[in-house]
Amino acid sequence: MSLLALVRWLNETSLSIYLRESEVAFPLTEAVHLLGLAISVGTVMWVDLRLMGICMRGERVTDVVSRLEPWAGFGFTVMMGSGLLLFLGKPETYYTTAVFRVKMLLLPLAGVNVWFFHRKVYTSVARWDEKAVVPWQGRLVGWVSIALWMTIIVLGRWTAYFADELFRRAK
Amino acid sequence: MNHLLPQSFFHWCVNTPLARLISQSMWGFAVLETVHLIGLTLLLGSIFVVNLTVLGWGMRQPAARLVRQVTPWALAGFLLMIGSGVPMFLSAAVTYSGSIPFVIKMALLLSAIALQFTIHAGRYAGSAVGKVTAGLALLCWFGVAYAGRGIAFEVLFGTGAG
Repeated sequence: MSLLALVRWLNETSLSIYLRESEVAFPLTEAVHLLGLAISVGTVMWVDLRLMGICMRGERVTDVVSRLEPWAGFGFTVMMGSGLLLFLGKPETYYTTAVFRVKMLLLPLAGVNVWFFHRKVYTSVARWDEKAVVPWQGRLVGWVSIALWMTIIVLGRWTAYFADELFRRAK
Repeated sequence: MNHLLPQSFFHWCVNTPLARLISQSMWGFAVLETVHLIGLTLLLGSIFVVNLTVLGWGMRQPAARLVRQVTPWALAGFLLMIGSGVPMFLSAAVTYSGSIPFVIKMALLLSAIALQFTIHAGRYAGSAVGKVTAGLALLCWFGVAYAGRGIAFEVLFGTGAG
């Protein structure tokens, strides 16, 4: 089965139709997605800024990471859950929206960045835990993370515009 | 809100040059909403971490030191939100004048700001009162965001308000 066929099949499931047609489900899910954004990117940005050497330079890197990562994880779980429901509501519309496709390509990259940080950079944290300026690999992870998330936020907002029925009809 | 202020005020708003510019441009409102969202991430991200720390669930450092470090970011976020929020209001003031979610958002915003400054007055540092205030403020801030999303849909708690 091709991806498009799968998306078309999803589009006609009763869950998808309910999410799409209910007056409550879609706005509520989008609001949860927004609150999840504040918790996820709102906490991960402090880890990034610490790694970049821009904020909290006097705090231990391990303190910032260990205290904020659980909240970031919680926030991203909320984002994934609500995002999946948003997608299930209009799978075919989103699948055919270009900005959404770019967003879906960037999300795994953000995951790879976190993986790279924990497997290749954070392992030697004991040597630079208290340093204001961390090794370049760490600074790179911070910059990449911030750039990816800001782009993903913008693409997410614009997905809602380009997927909007009024816009699609005008096009 | 149309009972709080005269209708002529809202009509004046939508006729200001800035409001006309936004409503005539195709992407003006969309760009403002995007800026509003980036501002929200900075501001709520700052407040979330600070209030969690006051509650004892956030950073290990003293809350006062954390506040000094995050204030520039919170301020930047706040300026982005005001700088995009006021033009959005101007461009759609007549619509917003009848919006219940908008009135709720403004009420929650004032409460959130008042509670936040109560925490930072410092008298309640580490006390139970301080923690309750931090928790309430956090609820209000998230309520502001929630009601804000509700303005676009004219829906709050699942009931049509528009």
